[in-house]
Amino acid sequence: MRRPPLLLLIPALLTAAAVLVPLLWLILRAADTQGLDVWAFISRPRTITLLGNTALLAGTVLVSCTLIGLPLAWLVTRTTLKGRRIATLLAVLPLAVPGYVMAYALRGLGGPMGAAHALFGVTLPRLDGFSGAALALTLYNTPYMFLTLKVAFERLDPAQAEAARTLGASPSQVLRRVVLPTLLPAWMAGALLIGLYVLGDFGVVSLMRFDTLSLALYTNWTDMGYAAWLALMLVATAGVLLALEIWIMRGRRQARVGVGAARLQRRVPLGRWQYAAWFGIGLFCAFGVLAPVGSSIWWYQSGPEMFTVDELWTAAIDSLSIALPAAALTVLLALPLAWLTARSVGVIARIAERVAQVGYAIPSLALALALVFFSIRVMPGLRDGLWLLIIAFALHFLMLALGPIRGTLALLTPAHEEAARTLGATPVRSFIRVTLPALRGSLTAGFILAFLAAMKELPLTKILAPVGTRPLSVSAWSYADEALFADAAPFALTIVALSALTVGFALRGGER
Amino acid sequence: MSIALNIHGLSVGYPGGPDVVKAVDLQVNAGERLVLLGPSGAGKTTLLRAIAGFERPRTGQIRIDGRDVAHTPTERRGVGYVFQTYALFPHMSLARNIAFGLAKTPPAERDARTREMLALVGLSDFADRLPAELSGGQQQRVALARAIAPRPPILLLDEPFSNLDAALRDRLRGQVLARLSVERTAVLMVTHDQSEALQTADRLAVMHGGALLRVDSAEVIYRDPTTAFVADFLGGTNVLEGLGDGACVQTALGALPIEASGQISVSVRPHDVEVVVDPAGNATVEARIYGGHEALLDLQLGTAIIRARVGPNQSVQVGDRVAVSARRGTILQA
Repeated sequence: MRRPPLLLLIPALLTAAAVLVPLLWLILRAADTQGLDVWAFISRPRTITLLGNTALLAGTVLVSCTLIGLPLAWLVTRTTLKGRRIATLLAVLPLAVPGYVMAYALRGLGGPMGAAHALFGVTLPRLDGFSGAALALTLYNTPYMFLTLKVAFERLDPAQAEAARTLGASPSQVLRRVVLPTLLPAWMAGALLIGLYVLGDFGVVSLMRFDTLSLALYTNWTDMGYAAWLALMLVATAGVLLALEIWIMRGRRQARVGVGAARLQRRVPLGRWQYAAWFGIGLFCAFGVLAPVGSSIWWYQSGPEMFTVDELWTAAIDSLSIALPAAALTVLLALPLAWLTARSVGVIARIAERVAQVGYAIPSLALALALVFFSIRVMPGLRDGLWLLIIAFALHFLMLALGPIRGTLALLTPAHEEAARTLGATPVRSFIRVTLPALRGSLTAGFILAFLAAMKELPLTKILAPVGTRPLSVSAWSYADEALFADAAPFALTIVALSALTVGFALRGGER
Repeated sequence: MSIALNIHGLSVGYPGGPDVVKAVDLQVNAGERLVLLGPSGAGKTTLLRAIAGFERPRTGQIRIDGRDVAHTPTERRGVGYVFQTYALFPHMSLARNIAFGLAKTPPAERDARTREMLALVGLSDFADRLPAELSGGQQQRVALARAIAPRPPILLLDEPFSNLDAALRDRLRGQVLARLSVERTAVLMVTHDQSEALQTADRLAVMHGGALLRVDSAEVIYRDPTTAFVADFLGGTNVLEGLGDGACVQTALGALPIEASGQISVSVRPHDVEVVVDPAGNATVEARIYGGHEALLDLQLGTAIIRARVGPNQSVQVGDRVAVSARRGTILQA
C-alpha cells in the first residue's frame, strides 16, 4: 500500500503528541516531587484502601452490568419476546441519565425528606457510599453492555450452534462451550468501556461519598505532587485494564469465520415467561429512568431556593460555547486519524488507532491534571480561556468520532479515489470531490456524538473551565454536592433531555 | 448391505407456510454416496436440516442405522454435518475444533483420532492455529475433518464446495471422497452444480419443488431423463413434439427409432444432433458459442430453435446453411 500522504500524517502526529506530551509531563512532575518516598506512598494503607475501593467498585459494576445486560440482549435477539423494539429502547434509555445525575436523583429519592417519602409515603434508605455508587454506575453503564452484546448475538452464526449439536453437545453445553466463548470479544469490548468509565468517574463517587482514586485525586487537587502520583496511579490502573484486554484478545479476531450468509436463527418461544421477562425489563427501566426523572421533577416542583431561569440560560450558553467548538475540533482531528487507520497498514495504522484509544482511556481527572501541569509550565495563558478545556474534550472524545468515520472509510474502497485519479483529479481534488462528500453523514454523526458527550461531561469541565464559567453539568453537580436538590433539578432535567438524543444515536448505531 | 439412512413419507414446512419438502422417500446405503441435485429453492437444504434434526418434520419417518430418530435431539442422532459457512468455532484451535465431537472418547484415543484427522486433511502443522488464520479452503477441510472425526454413520454435506474456486474444488472433492470411501461413511450431499453431481454420485436424486423426481444412477438418469425438467436441468436438451406409429417417431429432426404411438414429446440432447454443412439444408446457424473442446450452435429450424453441440474440428459459421437430424432421442412423460 502507498505511504500515507504528509498532509494527513502531520495532523495525526500532532494529535498523538497532544495526547502523549501531557502524560509525559505528569510523569516528570511526579518524579520531581521531593521529600516524598514513592514506595512509602504506594504501600501506605490509605493508598491500598483507595485502590481496593476502586477495584471493588469497578468489579461490582462490571458483574452487575453483565448480569442485567446479557439476559436483556438475549431476550431481544433470541426469543419471541413481544415488543422487542420497545424493549430495546427501554434497555438503552438509562443512557439518557448521566452517572452524576443518576447519583443525585437516587440520593434525592431516599430518606425522610426524599421524593419517595413525599410521593408514596415510603421512606427508602438513603443510598450512599459503596452501594449507592455501584447502583448509579450500574444503571448508567448497563446499556453499553446490552448494546455490544446485542450486536454480538445478532452476528452469531446459528450454524455454529447447530454444528455443535451434530457433534453431540446438549443445548446447555452449546451455550457454555460455543455461544458464550463466541460472545467473549464483544463482552471484553463492553467491559473495557465500562471499566474505564468507572475508573474515570468522579460525579457519582463524589455525590455518593465513596472514596476511590479519582475522588481522592479531586480532594487533593491542590497538593500537586501528591495529586500527580495519584493521577499516575489512576493512569496505570487504566493501563492495566487496556493491557489485560489486549492480552486476552491476542490472536482473536471479531470477524466471523467462514463465508456465505448465515441463516436466520429460530427464536426461543417464551410462552408464559413473556410476563416475567417484561417484569424484569420494567424493573430495570423503573430504576434507570423513572426513578431519577421522577425524583428530579418532584424536587423541582418542591421549590428551588436560589435557582433563576437566567442562571439556566447562562449555563446553557456556557455549555454550548464549549461543546460546539470542542465537537468541531474532535471531528477535525479524527478525520486524518480515521484515514490512517482505514487506509494504511502496519505500525502507522495501529499507532493511529491507539492514539484515540489512549486519549479515551486516560481517566478524565488525570488528563485534566496533566493538561494543567503542561499549561502552567509551557503555555500559562491557555488556562484563562476555554481553549484548554476544548482541547481536552477533543483528545478525550476522539474515539467517539473516529468510529463512524472509519466505518464509512472502510466501505469506501481506495478504488473510488483511484477512479477519480484516472479521470485526471489530483489526490487533494479526489479527496475533496469523492471522499469527503461520502463522509458527510459520518462526520455529522461524529460531531453530534462528541457534542452531546461534551455537553454532559463533568470532571474535565469542573477542573478546566475558567473561573466564572458554570456550564450545565457543573451547575447540576455543585448544587447536588451541597445537597440543594431542588436547585440542581432544572439543570439535571435539561441534561437528561439533551442526553436522550444520544440514546437515539446509540440505537441507530446498534442496529447498523 | 445395511441401510444407513431410511426416510419414508417425510414432509417438512416452516410455520404458517406450505410444505417445503413433500412426502420424500429416500434410502442411503452404508458406504454409498448419494447426491441431492436441484435448483435453488428446491428444498434440498431443508431436507438435510430435517435429517439432522434442525427442522421438525410434519409427517414421516427418519431412520438412521435402523433407529427411528424422529423425536431424538440432534446431538443423539449420530449425523455429521458440513455447513456451507463451515461454522468453525472461532475461539478454538483447529485441534480443539476437531476434538469437539470426541468428548466421550478416552483422551489418548481422542488425541490420536484428532491427529489422524489433521493429517488426513493435510493440516498437521496447523493444529494450534485459530480458524481465522486459515484460508477458505483450509477452513473447509477442518469443517470436514471435524464432522467425520466421531465416525458418524451418515455424513450430510450442504454444498460444501460451493464457496471454493474451481481448481481447488475439484482437488479437494477428490481427496475428501476418497477418504470417506475408506471410512465406509454414507454420504448425502446437496448441490446445485450438475457436473459436480454427475462426477461424485453413486446415485443421484433430483429434487424439484420439494419432491424427489428421480433417484437412480447418474448415468441412467442422464441417458433417460423421462421428464422435461430433469432433461433440461441435467445437461440441457431439445424438447420436440412427434408422432409415433408403433415403431418410429417422426419429429422435426427426422425419424427416431422409438416404439410408441400417438402424439408424444421427445428429448434430444444437443450432442445427439447431427449437423452437416449443406447449402440445400433445412436449417440456418443463428449463433455460435465457442468453448474450446466444443462449440454450441443455435439452429433456426422452421420456427423452432434447436441447440446442437459439435466437435472442435467441425467448422461451422454463423449464417451457414446446414442439414440437421437427430441421432438419438428419449420419450418424455407429459
